[in-house]
Amino acid sequence: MRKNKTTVVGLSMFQTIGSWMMWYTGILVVLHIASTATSYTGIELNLSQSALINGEAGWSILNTALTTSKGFFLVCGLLSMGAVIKYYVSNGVTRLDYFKGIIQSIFYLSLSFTAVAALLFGLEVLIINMMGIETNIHVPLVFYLKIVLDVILFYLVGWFIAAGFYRLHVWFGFVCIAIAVLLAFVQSGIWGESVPIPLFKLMNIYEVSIWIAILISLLMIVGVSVVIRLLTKEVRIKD
Amino acid sequence: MPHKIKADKVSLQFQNKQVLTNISFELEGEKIYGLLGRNGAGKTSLLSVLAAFVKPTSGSIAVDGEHVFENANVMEQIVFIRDVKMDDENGKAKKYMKDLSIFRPNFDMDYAERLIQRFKLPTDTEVSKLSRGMQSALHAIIGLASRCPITIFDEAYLGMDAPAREIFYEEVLNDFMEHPRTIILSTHLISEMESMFEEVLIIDQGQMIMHEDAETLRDSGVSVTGAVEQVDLFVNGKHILKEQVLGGTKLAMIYGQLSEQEIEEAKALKLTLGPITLQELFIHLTKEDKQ
Repeated sequence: MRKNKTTVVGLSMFQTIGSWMMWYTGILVVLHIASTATSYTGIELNLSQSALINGEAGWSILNTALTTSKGFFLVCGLLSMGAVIKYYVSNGVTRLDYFKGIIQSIFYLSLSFTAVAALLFGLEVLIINMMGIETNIHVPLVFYLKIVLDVILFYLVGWFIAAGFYRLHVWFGFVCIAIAVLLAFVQSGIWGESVPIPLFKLMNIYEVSIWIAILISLLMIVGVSVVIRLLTKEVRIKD
Repeated sequence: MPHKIKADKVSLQFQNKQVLTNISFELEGEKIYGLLGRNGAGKTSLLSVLAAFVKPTSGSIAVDGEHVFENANVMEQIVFIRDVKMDDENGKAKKYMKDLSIFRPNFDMDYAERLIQRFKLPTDTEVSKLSRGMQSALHAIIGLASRCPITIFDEAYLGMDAPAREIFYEEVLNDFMEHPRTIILSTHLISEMESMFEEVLIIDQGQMIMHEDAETLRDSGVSVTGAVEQVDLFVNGKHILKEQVLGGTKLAMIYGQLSEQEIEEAKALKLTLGPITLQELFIHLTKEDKQ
């Protein structure tokens, strides 16, 4: 029976990026322990959505995960174009199956990364409690949704930049970078994150309600996905 | 089941450069085809269109009536092996092949392992760290063991040394006998491979200039050897491809078949007649000052 190539691509990419993700998570944990080992001295954690995101209510491993995962998954997206599309098309996979497979793997990665982050946070809380430090921790469910959306969007943005450079001229690649920066600012702004860059402050992107933020994030995800598909639909496989 | 490949007025343009112009041909049956052309003639571009690596600017290539580009059923049946560096690839040879075998329904891992031994491919070295010759051998193994109904080798053997190339030629022929399929071998090094071809396609400056049965092509010219004056007398008025004089002896290659009367005339002049090689014909057909 003929294998579903989309699923094959999706699982193989999930396996590859997932193994990188485990390394990254290990490094994340080490960095988090190193940076917070001296600062956990009885802070009362009361985590609202934006307070948690901005680290105003105390820094947990969720903040570390949320902040650093953007860079990690952006790089994963950047690496999902040239050599990857060449590998799959060389092995008889269509560009459509490649596209759908990567989308599938991003979905798996976002869920699994969020689950791992949640588990680590639970472990962190457990350790804090065992150490007798008083905490009053409440993490809104939407925070986990924000991690899922961030992973998906930043992966897609990286993939979009790489597709722009691969498909078109270098100058178009730079246009893609500019669009990617704009998307990143919008994603941060609508969720109430502050980005310490003057341009971000000039843009005056205001925090919106959770439902509007989710809607805008989803629209950006769909929009970037459509553009990536258009860029890769008939792309020539280079040597 | 034998596949029919049909190219219909395929043209390809990269930015302002015309790479292929109105190429049409039909390949039918399980045969070994030779695609010949000089460097830059458009061989790789044509094969890239056939393997759906690039969409033609105009025209189409179809397999059994189905367009190749973005057709999952057809693309699965085509393997396109090129002599490209594998410096970005991870893993050792066996794992690398195992990983890609999931995309190839006919992949024969046992055969691949036998070929690994024949080519003496190191199995404890990362693919990216293999020498160029060994990377070429790995490409060849993948192409052969994939057992795709349409198998294309685009000068994939250039990095191999002479013994490895010999093994490659043997394996192509042996595996073709056991598992007949359409094999396309692209090369500009013709002398080593011409005996393998059943049909030959010659491409020059992006245009298909000849598609013939290999035997017919070999019979399309004659080499004439003998005393200089006798040879000159015999070839006078004929289409001469090449002339070479050594002392009092001359070798001339002429294009076109000889009549019975001309063969008798050659015998009377004590001339030796022989076939011309595909390489000689190819050089003639693709030389730059050809009109």
